[in-house]
Amino acid sequence: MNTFNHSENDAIKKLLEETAQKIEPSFAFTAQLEKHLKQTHKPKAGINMSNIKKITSPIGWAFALVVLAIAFNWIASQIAPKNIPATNIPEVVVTESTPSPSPTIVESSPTPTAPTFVTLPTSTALPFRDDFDGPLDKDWEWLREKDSDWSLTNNPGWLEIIAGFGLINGGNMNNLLLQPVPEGNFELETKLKFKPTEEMEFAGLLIYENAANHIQFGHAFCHAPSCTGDGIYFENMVRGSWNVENFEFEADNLEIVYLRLRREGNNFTAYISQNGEDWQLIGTHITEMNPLSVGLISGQSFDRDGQNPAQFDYFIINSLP
Amino acid sequence: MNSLMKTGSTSPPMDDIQLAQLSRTDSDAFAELYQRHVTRVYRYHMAHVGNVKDAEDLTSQTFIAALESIKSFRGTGSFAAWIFGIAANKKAMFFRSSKPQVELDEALHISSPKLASDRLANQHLQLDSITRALKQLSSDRADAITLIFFGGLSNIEASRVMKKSEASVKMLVSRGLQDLRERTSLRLEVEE
Repeated sequence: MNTFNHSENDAIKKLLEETAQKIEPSFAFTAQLEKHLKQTHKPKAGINMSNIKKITSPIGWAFALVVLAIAFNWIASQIAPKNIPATNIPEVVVTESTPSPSPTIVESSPTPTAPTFVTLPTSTALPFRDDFDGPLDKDWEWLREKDSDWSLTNNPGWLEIIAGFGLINGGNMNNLLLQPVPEGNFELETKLKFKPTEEMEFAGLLIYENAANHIQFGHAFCHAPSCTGDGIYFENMVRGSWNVENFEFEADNLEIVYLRLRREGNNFTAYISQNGEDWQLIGTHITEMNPLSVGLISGQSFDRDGQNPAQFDYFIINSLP
Repeated sequence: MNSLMKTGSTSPPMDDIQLAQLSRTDSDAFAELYQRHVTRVYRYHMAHVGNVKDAEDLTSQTFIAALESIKSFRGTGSFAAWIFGIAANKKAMFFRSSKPQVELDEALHISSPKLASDRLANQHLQLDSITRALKQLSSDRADAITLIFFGGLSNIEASRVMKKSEASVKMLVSRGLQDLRERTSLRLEVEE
């Protein structure tokens, strides 16, 4: 039987190899792409010392000095620290929260170049809180519930959702835990325990209109060029396409993270914290989506057999002025 | 491509790692790398998407991303494993941002302008069968098979791309072939 299986496997191998050998990109395509690559190739700027030796006139030297000064400034700007992982920022001063009813929201830049800690005001009301200490609150509803992949008992006091296979935009992602979107401005908060390891595994907060329009903010693993690997990602899908800005932020082996996601009109702003008190601005998406639900998600793994659990300690909705 | 040879006309061509280092400043060096790897990257994408248009798009994206990040290639592994890591990510992003239920079915029926003759149409049908069969495998098994049989990677290179051990990759390939044999229409193709 084994011999038979081996010979069948060999036949399939042969079929695969033969088929592969027959696939050739067209000459027009490869030539066009090669031309494009050559045109977009930008060699690194370098200084040719032999050219410097040839400079003899004072004007030439003055010009050379200006060029050197510009180059020095550029190099200095390149080696300045840009994105310091949250775990390496122990000395940042954070001002106390104020109970002011009219909060000051710090304007976010598209991509923060340095950690920006802000004072987040205490909310004016507390419409909803679930600590996952007992049965799920009656306001929750599952979208595509897969009963075997969530639990309130595996880690008591935490809601566990397996990051299973399925794409949120593909309409086949299981276990979206949702409730109706609050009226007006609001803030979502959760404490997440998750170690993503497979490509695209994601867990976190969700503001959801439908599969083609939503915002997700959480801990994920992604190796695409626009990603930072194990990181915090704040993503916005608009009419079926991901916004190119994902506010990637290196997680650096962070296992527990606090997430806040605010809606103020069309501004959706995300913050993270390592202790639930000191909050760091991640960024703002501005979008005209019409959210219908808010909640928690865990999934999007490309590993069909993946069983990586994401655990949520609580979920809060605060209203904002 | 004489500029990319080592000193002296009898010297062997530069290897991929030397070319990658040179590519940081020399567009000809990157062009040489491109020529060496474009067909296998294209084959890998074709095996996954099953149509020329998307395979060309993904191949373009793969090499443009590679050019943009060539400085990050440190030469600790093979260039092939590095560029197939990018290709695998582009493929993953493609399926992530598309609508799978529609794409999978439609992709298999898009006629290719390059495959107009009967002979090529026949090949296209064969590729269709394989693409369809691969969709029925777990993503890991399908990836291992496409990296090795279509990308032409060694087991150890595929293990680097997939961030798994070489033994795991061998196992994935073996089980993938078994799945193809037991659960897919490829069995019929082979028997015919």
